[in-house]
Amino acid sequence: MFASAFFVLALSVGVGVDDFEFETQTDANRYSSLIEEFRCPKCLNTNLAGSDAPIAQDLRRAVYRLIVEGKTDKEIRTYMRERYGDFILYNPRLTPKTLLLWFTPILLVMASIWLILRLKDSRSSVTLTAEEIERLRDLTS
Amino acid sequence: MTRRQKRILLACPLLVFFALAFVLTIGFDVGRHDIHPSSLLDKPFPNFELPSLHSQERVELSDLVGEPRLFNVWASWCIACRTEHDLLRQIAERGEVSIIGINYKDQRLDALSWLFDLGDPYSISVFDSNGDLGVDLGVYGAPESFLMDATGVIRYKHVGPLTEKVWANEIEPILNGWD
Repeated sequence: MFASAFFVLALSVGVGVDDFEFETQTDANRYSSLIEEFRCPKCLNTNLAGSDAPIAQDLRRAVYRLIVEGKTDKEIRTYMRERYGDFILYNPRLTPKTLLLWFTPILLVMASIWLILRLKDSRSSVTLTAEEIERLRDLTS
Repeated sequence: MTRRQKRILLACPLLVFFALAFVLTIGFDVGRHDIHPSSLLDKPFPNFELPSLHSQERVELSDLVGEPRLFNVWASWCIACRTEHDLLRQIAERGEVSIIGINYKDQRLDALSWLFDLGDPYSISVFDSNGDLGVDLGVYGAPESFLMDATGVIRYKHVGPLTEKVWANEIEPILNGWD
């Protein structure tokens, strides 16, 4: 009896996250992952999910509203970026300005591999002068 | 390993250090500029319908399009808003542009008594109590100001209190260009 009443109640309120109710579990999950993804504009290094700042609450409400309005994740990201700049994206876009950010690690890895290979090479092929060969022969004979 | 190779190898950490310093300097610089994004520039002012601060009347964006407007986002809890208030009053007295107040995340009584005490430079005030219009404008703190042209497009945005300098160097030239 209780269980069924509870079940009906659960059905009627949909899926709740924070203070918001979503029609589907998918939308609720989208909400949760989007607020993880956006950086709180005023808190320098916290995402919307982890901040109690009033602005973070407002932006969470905006994310909720946009999801309910049927916007896609991409449209929501664009909405946020147009208003709060690239700063709000924890996952930076690939633009000319962020080329270095994206490719420096790859460049560094490639440079290290090149360096290691070179050192290995030079170690295996030591060139001796004629005198050194002579000495080596003396020493080993 | 020859001496030359050894020397190159020894220089590597230093080179890596300088490379990283270069990259990070640029990175921090990019971050700093993007804190004040201007991507709403040259875009239409976001549509809104909000109660007036002074009455229960509703104010819509369409009521305000048709002449240039300086939107000023402020709140009674905002200390920095006090520093620009005199300037706003002077601008209003000179009648250079119609100033629209967006009272942002405030209490109505606090806001009204603030205007009563310090003077009301706003030709119209809207009451954005939960900050929804603020989000639509990309506001992250008061005060912020937006200059809208007669067709309803945002032409200038200023974050922080307005100063004589900003007014004379940035906003006035744009307004003069429209006359």
